[in-house]
Amino acid sequence: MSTQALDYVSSLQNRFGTIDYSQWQGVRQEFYSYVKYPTAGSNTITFFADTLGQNNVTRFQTNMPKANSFGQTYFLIKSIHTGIRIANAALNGTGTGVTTYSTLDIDNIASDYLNGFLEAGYLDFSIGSRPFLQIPKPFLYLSPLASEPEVYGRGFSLMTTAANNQQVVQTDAPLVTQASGRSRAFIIEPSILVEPEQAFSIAINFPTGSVPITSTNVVNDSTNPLYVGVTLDGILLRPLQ
Amino acid sequence: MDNNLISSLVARFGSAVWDQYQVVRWMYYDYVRVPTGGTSQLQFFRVPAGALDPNATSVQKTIEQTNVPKATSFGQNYFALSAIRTHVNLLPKNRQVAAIAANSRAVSRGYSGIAAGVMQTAYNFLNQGTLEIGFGDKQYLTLERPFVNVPPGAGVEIGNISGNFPAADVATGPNKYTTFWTQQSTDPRNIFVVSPTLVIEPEQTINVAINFYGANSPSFTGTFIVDDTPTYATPGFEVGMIFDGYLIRPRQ
Repeated sequence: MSTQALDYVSSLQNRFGTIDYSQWQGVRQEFYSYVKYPTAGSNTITFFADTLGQNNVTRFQTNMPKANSFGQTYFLIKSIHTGIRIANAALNGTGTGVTTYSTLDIDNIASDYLNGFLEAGYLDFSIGSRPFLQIPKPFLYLSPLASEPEVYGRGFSLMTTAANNQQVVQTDAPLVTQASGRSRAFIIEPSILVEPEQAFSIAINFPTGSVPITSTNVVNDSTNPLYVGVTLDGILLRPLQ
Repeated sequence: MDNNLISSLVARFGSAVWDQYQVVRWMYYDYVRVPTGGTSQLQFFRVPAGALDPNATSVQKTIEQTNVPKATSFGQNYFALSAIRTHVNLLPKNRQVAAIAANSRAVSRGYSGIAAGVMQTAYNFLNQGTLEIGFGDKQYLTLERPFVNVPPGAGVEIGNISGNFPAADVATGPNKYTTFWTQQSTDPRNIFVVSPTLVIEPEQTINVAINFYGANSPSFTGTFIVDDTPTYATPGFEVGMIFDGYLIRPRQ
């Protein structure tokens, strides 16, 4: 449609349209979608395909009005980011003892951050069937805007004596998080305007092969699942009340 | 022939309708395997997804590794290059050789538990190389030590990473449990900004390589400690080249 055609449509809307766009407002909004990352891994993790109230989905997982669409509103996407959350991160691991960790990869979630699914995958964001973003290793490049908790006082936790009388320093378990904070926002410039009822899809794909969870003594699909999420930050355009 | 004349000809007789083009933020990326024994050159954007990695011909690329539409070119789109990132990435544990994938202490010990271990070698690797970027036959950028001068500006934050003794192994003494981790800068302010922006035209041939002059890149062979026997394995790394900028393409 040419610029002239847009002018023509605009003129028609003003005269005969069913919507009064002068009565619309713009508000900052975030739409998010969190889903379980299965311990066995998956070739595709799909986001924004669930909607509130269906399949026991609550606002813990998403605040989308409907699946794969922003419903009857416009949404101007200005940035995109990922997140990872788990109910119990088990910072000291799950291994033997209370003052030390076992050094087994399965006992600390740092194994996954340093050498797991964060180092793989690509994010595809398509509107209709057309890609608008393809981002490699999205859990690295699309940092969370929310700042991760800061943890201090870790390091030496215990000294013990080895069998040969050497003093051995015992330390706390590794602590690794996504690099985070608003200064790391992945800005989509120019912004992307998703129109009402426009179908979009966001998925993180692993076509080279799924990457299972390493810290299987921490992450458990039923008792302590790991959630991964994608958040779209922008401006919601909707009718005034 | 000046730009005004070309513009006039395009508007009157051209096969493309330029006011129907859109601009979207875009990344073109290409991750290639690092030959484990060292190499004199890593080439990027040489092949699209589906082809074999020229640096490791047993590895077929997918869109996880690259999203270029064709070899050495961005195809029928314009691309305005505004920033460059490189990324040295340790392959996920389950994509390493079996001796590492099945190792129970890969992260807490295997990658750095010996003097010339994986992370020590990676540190040396990060301080080497020369990035050379050309279009057609013309050289545009030459940057020394690209992994430190052109970092990814993204990654993980490490609050604590250090070795420990499982109680059962204390008797073996403090010999193989030192753990540290090496990575590039994750600060997004450190990415290499291309200003003025460089517009890469359709079908323009792209030549991007990191060359290791004087001596090959460090060898990662046998830098992973598998057990106390001792047994060693060789870890796999990939290096990514990310062109960050704006894709200019026809509207739907």
